[in-house]
Amino acid sequence: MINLIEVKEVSKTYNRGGETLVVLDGLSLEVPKGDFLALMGPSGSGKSTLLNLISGLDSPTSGSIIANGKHLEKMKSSALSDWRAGNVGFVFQFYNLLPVLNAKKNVELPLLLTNLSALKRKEHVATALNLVGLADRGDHKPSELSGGQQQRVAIARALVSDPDILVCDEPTGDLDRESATEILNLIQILNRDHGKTILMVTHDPVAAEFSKRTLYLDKGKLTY
Amino acid sequence: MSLFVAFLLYGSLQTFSSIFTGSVKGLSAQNLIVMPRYDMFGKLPISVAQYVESLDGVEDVMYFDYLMPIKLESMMDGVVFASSPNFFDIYTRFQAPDEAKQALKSTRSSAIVGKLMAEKKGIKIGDKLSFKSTSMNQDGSYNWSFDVVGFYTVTQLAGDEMAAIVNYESVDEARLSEKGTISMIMARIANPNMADSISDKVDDRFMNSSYATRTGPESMMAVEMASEVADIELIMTAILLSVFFTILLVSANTMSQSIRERTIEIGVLKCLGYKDRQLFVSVMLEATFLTFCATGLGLLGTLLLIPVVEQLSDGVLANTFNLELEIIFGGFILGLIVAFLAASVPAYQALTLRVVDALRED
Repeated sequence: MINLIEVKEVSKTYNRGGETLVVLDGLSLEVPKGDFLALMGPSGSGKSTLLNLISGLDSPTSGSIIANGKHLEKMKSSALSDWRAGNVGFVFQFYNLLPVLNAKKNVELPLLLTNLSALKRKEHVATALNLVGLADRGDHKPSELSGGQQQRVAIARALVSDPDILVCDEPTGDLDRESATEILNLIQILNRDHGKTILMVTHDPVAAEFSKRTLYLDKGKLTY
Repeated sequence: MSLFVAFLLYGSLQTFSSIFTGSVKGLSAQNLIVMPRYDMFGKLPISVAQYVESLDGVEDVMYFDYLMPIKLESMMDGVVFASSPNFFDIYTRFQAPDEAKQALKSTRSSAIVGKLMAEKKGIKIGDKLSFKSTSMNQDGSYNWSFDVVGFYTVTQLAGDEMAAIVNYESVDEARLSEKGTISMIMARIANPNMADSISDKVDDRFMNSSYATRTGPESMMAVEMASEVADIELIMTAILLSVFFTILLVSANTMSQSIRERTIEIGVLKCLGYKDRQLFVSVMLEATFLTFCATGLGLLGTLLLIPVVEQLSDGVLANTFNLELEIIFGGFILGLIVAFLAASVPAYQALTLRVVDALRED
């Protein structure tokens, strides 16, 4: 199977008050296209840092990250922005929707960076909202939606530019069990039916059960 | 809101300061004013007027003295100008019907009353204008009386219509003291470019006498006279500078707070692929938009204040104030400067914000 993501001997350290803090320690990982990978581990184990590196939000101190054929560690900030816009969709624990925009406008945000016409953008937004089951809530602002619905809008925003990789950082951490299950089912459908490669950080073993495989991190290393 | 108030203050100060800073229309550079150098209400001998008239470049000379009515015991509140008969020929901002002007020249007891005062006091042509003045009359009283022969209007500063103009010779003959003295001379010169040389000549001539003069174009003298009360222009500038820095501090604080509150949003936008420069520009544009909205509303507020102030002045300041194009233009330039200075730091913060740091605040 083709690897969509290859993480090779990646280390990430921070300097805090003259002390070097090792967050990731020579970690290697391969993620095939179409995988649904759950990352678990205690707080401070490096899960989110690994996710940030793979999604091009941060750069490793050493090692290399190849995603969709690109060496992310060699790319500059501007090129990484372009890469993220075309290849990665983000789903956050607290949804992070823009409160002044309605659902449609929130979902449209990534498309404003493309050359699509307003009509095409509208079509893409409608498709994404339809996919997450919120076709009738497009004109609602985030404050008018439940937590589960807000997360669905966030997923629609992550999907609307049709990226290969979906990065989910505790996507159900702020939801009740019922809503969490709905969201996880939706993510599973995106993986199974739409071929999205999914990387999900979670503390919740139930959430991890929705993935194809689960990896455990501790002190910056994979413990499997 | 604070930005709106600041620009309202800017617009109002700029507009209403025109009466103090000499930018009122209609003040002529072709008219020179000669007045006592050290006392705005002092006296000059009439011979000064004769000297001024004899100078090259001076076309005509008008002079007057004030008869100050004692308000509570008089039928009028304003000033009475005891003027040479050519008052209206030189002071063209004041306009009166020809027959009234002719009467002022031919009939020594005639008075031309300002239209605003006539309206306020119900004065009609043919009425006696009677008042008490601080000048003693030959009969030993302070009572003065004139025949109203017409009304005058002014092109701007309606407050100048709260006065009456009477014949200087009749007043000078009738009064017991200060005979042969005048308060102010106005000389029409052939060429405004000669104003400085003629002014210097007059002032040099009387520099070491008991009647030192101060001479200059009417527009300049208006400012100087206002400055005798206080340095209005300096005060206005100080207030405007304070306003400017207040606007700057308020908007810088607002912008910074706005960016701080939206750190996560900026982080999310960066996640989605928005570039640092795009966010920098968007913060700058937002600041400019907000400041321009505040500028527009502040200037609109000023526009709405003008009729209110004119109304409150009871007609004295009618048609005096205009929100000039240069004030509007200046306001938007000021807005642009404020937006740039206030937003540059927050915009730079947005530019350099690391996504992982922004999202860590989640």
